[in-house]
Amino acid sequence: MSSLLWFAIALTRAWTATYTRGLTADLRRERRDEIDCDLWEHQRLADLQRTPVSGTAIEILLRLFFGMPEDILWRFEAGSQSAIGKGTQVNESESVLIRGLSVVAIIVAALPVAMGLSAVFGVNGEWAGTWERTIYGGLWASSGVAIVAGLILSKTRPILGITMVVVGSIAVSAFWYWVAIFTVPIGIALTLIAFFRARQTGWPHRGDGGLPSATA
Amino acid sequence: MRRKKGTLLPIETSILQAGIEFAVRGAARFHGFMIAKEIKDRDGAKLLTAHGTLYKALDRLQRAGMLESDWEDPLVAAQEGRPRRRLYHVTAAGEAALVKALEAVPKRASAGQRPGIVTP
Repeated sequence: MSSLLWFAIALTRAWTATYTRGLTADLRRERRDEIDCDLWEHQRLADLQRTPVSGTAIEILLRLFFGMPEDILWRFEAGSQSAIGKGTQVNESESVLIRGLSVVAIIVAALPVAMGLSAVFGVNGEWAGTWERTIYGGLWASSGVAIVAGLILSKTRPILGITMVVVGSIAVSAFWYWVAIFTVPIGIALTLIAFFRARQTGWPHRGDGGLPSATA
Repeated sequence: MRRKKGTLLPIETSILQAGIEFAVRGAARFHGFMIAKEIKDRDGAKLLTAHGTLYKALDRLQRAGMLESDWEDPLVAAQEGRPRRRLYHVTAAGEAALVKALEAVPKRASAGQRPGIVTP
């Protein structure tokens, strides 16, 4: 198996594992098994048709990326149904999960902040003292700050918080477009985490789009 | 995607059509990848249907009673050295919905509407 195909399969499985977290064990296992089966059948067909491995890997990645919005929507729907069936148990496990993911997300989002600040204030390197370095460094840092702030705000100001995460993620992906294969899924994951943080407060059903109610 | 209550999305129509075609060819039960491949071949698409789009639509159709599914015996899958398959089949309600949907397409097209599809 080529490294690109291995990466495509691993990324698809990792994504499936991520968005099925917090669901009931049966639902989670069923979705993961179904995706595993799909990946296996896809590879088998590619082998039979002697399709180039890189083509198969790219097709798997595209199927993954194009399906992400539907995966997120499905997760919301499935999560609501699980919560109805299982009471608060799912919400509690989801709460712990989201808290853990939020910490990881903030650490990840701090990376462009650190890189931006080191570009602005650092003294070494071929860009040393140039205005480009200051501008790019400032933009990198601002993108990271937007994501961190958005993640934090997503509980109290869901729409503003999620928007900041989306804008920051798009900016980071644009700055480092040559590694978009990593930055795009990371950006989607960060947005998803902001969504789930917002949802914990009852949004969007609480209707105010702003501060959570006292009972939230 | 938002849609009117009682209508089918194009992906749902494609899944039901493919499922019925499989049955006509003698394969009454099908798994997700078979559907993706069938839709790609029939529509001449460059890509297989995205994972999220396909499995969410299958889930929706199942909850609407148009598809039923069951997991194959894990021993069978293990003997063949592959993951177990979730096998779907189109129900009578799914067939009826598709027939009604296909009947509605020319009417809507002649009325200048988007080719949405109506379910019972």
